[in-house]
Amino acid sequence: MRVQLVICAALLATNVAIADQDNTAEIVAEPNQAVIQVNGIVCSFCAYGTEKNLSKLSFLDDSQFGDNGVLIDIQSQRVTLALQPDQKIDLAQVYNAIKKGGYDPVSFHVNVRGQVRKDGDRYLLTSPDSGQVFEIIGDDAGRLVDRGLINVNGQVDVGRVAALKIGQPVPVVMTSSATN
Amino acid sequence: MRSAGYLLPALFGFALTTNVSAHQPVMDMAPRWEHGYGFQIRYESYGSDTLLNGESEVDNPFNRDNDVSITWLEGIYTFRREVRLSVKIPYVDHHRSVVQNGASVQESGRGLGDVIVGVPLKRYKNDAAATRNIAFTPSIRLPTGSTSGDYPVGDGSTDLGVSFSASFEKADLYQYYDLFYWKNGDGDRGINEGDELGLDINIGWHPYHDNVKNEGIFLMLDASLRYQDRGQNLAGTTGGKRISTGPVFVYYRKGIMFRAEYKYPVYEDLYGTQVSRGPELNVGLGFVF
Repeated sequence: MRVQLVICAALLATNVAIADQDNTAEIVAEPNQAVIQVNGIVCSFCAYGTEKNLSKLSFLDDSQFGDNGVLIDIQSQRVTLALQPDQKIDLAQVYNAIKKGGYDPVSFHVNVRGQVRKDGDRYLLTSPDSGQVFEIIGDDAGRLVDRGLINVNGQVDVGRVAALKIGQPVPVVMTSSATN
Repeated sequence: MRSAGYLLPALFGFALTTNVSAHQPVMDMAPRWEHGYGFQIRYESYGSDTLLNGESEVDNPFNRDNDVSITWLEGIYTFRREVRLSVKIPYVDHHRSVVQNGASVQESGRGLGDVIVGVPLKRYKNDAAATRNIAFTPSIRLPTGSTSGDYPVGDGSTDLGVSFSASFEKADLYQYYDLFYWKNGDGDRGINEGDELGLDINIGWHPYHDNVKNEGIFLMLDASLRYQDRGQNLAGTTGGKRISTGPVFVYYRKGIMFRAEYKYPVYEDLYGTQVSRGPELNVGLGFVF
């Protein structure tokens, strides 16, 4: 019994060290995928409800990641969604599915493909497949204009995701881009 | 010190606390999602023919023994992750040998036992690589079991319980601590089980997990500490102290969970002369939706 108490004390002490690990290494989404960093998603049995909620979203490609288009990686605490390229993504639905599943999304990462045009002081990327519009934000966004189809990797501010309306441009803070 | 500051009060800061039973994943880990629900069928078995007087094993010339099997149907509904409702319905099948008028007599009972209803109230905190929660669970045990027969499956009392628990989990490590107290009311036919104070500790390792299949295994060590006030049932004195421990194996795949647990009493100090509780086996199959 004494040994068990010592083990318990050691594990409690370990809590202090591991509770606030930074798990926000740069995330790059693959084409037709979205990656969401989620705090607390360290047990997939516990996250079954989140997976179930997400799998109901109509814009997922359920031929990927088993049979539902959702991959939860409990080691990195990331949720990867396989997306149908011809469907508009509703990130507010994604946010709510995760929150109602009991977890806290902290960052959204997307890889969007389309042509960029200037609209006033904004740079808008329109997907030729789904017609969805993204606002590309970043110092280099201007150089993407009129370069044909390009892929843009970026992050969507988690503070704005829940309020996004389908049909509105989705603001994407560009982290990288590549000519298609 | 944030983690320690969160866990330690849950472990040691509350004088009187309570819970329904030892840790069960369907009732704790899942469902944590809004409007989630689940049920578990769990078979519990314990028994012994070891006679103890206090801490000491004594001769058992009349072969006194006790053998208990309980099949639990346990259900849970999650309104939101902080508020749940749990119901545990036991079907009891037990028998024992007692001494009456200088002879060994067989007694048995079978039927629906006392139903337990609990309202786990949780507070979660999600960190970058961990999740944790503390919970307060008021419970009531209803006198639904029959008190007739020579070994009744119910005691006829309404019992009130409360527990404080804390769990901490990261991808490869799981910890659960549950401190509970049952205030057992006066039952029928002179039965008066003493109040019970207990602490359950689960330390778990998550050695295998497949992200695509949503399949994995937990291996845990369970330690259970119990103190029950001196009481009385139809066979004689009840109550005492007990520490038991043993391994727990959990396999899950998507919303299905299998759990097997074996516990052995490493220390018992009982009031009067009683049959040891003996080793305990728990096997459960749970589903969440």
